[in-house]
Amino acid sequence: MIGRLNKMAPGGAVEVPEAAGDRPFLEVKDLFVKFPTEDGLVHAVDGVSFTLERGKTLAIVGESGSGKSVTAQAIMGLLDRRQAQVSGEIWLDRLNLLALKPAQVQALRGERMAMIFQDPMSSLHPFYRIGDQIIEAIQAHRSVSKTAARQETLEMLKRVGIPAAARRIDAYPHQLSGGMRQRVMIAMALINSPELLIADEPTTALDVTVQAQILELIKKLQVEFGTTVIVITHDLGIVADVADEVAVMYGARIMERASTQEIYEHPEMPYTLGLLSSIPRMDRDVTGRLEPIRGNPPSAIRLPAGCVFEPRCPYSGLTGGLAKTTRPELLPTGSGVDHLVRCHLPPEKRREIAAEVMGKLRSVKA
Amino acid sequence: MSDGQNGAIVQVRGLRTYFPIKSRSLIPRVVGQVMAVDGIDFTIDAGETLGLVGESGSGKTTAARSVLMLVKPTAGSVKIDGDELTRMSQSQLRPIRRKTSMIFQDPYNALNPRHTVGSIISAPFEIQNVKPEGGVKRAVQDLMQRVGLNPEHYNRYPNEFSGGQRQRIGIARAVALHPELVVCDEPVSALDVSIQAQILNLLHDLQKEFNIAYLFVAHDLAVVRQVSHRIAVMYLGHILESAPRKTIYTMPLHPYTRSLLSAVPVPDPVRQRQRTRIVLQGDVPSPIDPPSGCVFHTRCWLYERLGKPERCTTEEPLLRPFGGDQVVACHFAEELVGQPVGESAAETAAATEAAAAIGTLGDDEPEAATPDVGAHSQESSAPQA
Repeated sequence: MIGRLNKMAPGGAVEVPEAAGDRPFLEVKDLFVKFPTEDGLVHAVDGVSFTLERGKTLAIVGESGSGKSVTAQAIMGLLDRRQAQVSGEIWLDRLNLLALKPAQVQALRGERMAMIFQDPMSSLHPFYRIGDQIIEAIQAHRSVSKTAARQETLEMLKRVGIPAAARRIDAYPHQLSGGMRQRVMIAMALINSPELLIADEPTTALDVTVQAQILELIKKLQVEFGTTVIVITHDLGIVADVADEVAVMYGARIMERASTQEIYEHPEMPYTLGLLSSIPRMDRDVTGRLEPIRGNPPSAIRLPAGCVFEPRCPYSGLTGGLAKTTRPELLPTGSGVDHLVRCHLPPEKRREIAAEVMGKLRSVKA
Repeated sequence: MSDGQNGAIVQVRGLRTYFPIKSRSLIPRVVGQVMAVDGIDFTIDAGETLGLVGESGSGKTTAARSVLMLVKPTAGSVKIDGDELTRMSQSQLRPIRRKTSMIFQDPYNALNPRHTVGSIISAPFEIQNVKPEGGVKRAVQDLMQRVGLNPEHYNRYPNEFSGGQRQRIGIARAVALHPELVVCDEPVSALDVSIQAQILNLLHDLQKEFNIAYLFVAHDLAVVRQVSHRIAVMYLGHILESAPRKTIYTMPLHPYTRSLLSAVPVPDPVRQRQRTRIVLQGDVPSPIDPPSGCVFHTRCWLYERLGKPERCTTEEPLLRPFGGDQVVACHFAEELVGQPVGESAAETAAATEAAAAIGTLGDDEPEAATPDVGAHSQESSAPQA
């Protein structure tokens, strides 16, 4: 550690409302995000709730338009409240972020919570040297001399694996490769030892060999700093690599939530089964044809009335019409372990289907 | 020339494609070359898929475009159906182009937004002056049906379709004239996973139906494995290894192929966390000034393990056969023969070392391995020297 455990109040004392009692480190409760557009109201996040314990890594998995990035932006307070209608509660360590003033959230952002984006150029200013940008991030939150901040920046650049850091600290973003820029962004995100780090598709723009470097780095830094991490991705391989827990999102809702091992070994939601069957896998024999999910994702303006996956679900007929008319809740599967699923299928039927699909998948093991 | 009965449709020999770097003076002169493709050989048989994998900057897309003469190769030979293309004029190429087509990565930019789906898919018929039985419209609607589009949408515009459907439009256009070779450049990397599987299945079915040969360029090794019969691994303009699918994934003999495979996470938490990952240090060197000898030696774990043999830095390794259609460009590939992937002592040691190196790397990192400062500006513009 760089020895900055006791944090100073950013920009003077900020009065923040606190709640009493024990709360998980992060709790998102009934989060709704809607964007009014000319074509109608876009339901980007439609009733998302989850909790996350300190020091754990949660992966939010989903396809484009599933609401995973908007959920992250809501937590970080990055949504423009003039454009987005946000409701619900987001508790970060006894602070209700949605009840705070924008200035208060801004004081927390970069200090107690930070974010890594898919495209590093979106968070690095092209006109300023990378070192100066990180120094600014330090001085925005702590009263540290320029010399000390520069020394700290140099240390951090070395930690994230930037070779010749003493020279690169004065480089401009365009002088670095994609992998190096991603490291700089990670260094900037971690410089104030945030307790919560959200990584939104952190390696999607990178080559696999660089992706491997970055994933190893995030895992290592998490152990070192004890950071709580939310990784947003569409890649089930990355999830298997880094996550303790998984939330599968589809059509603006969480469809299934369990530990990583449970999700891969005993998935129950037909959408999760569909995802697992549709990806080509390096660890299974090639069978010629894949098993895709039929159809296309729903429009966020006209979400289906019942289950959002109903139009594409091969088993929705088995719910006696319920999937078409009634919105299913995210409920315990009843299997004894901590596992939630949003599905109208009777539990026995669901497990029977899951066993069959997973059995088929495992039978082609390489 | 070829009758399509599993003869080679494509024969590429010694293909080189260089892009000159011009000085920014009043009278520009050539001050350097980007050696995007630097001497590669491959063949593709009828109905076969050759997967071309590599990281960004490896030259895989330039190689694919050079095969179709969309980029003029600097040297070497490209034969399609026995006809040498490199010396042909544009007008001589036109009839050859009927046998080839291309599917692009970005289904949003590959279609003209002001043309209807009908006119986009009928373009190949008009350009090649092909008059199908029953008329062009009928043929186009049959194609739309075949690729999973509603034929009634003939008069719609691309913006009315989703990404997956647009890729289907691009595929319908590509297979309209029953080409012998289709070059697919990252055809599914812009699509969501559930849609990706639909498109891969469609490509698979069309290949069976029309006996099309695919040159399939992609960076996703799991996708390439799904579709390819043979796979060639590119790095800095060179093919480092080429072998049938199964061999490449179970018994790769080039240290680069092994690192590439170990870097792909598998969607199985138990297995994934047991795997040893060979983390390569640094980035791909600049193709303006590639390393001497073996282009991979600056990042090679086997080179380190063997005590930096001089041969790797002085002598360029040629592709050598290792039986069963496997060729490997490494002086020391014998070291890896019989060593299963992820289990060789050398790899494990390299992986441990690499893991330990993360976070402790500092100024002691050899500069040669990471010449990335300034590399980007050089690629896009000329060095001032």
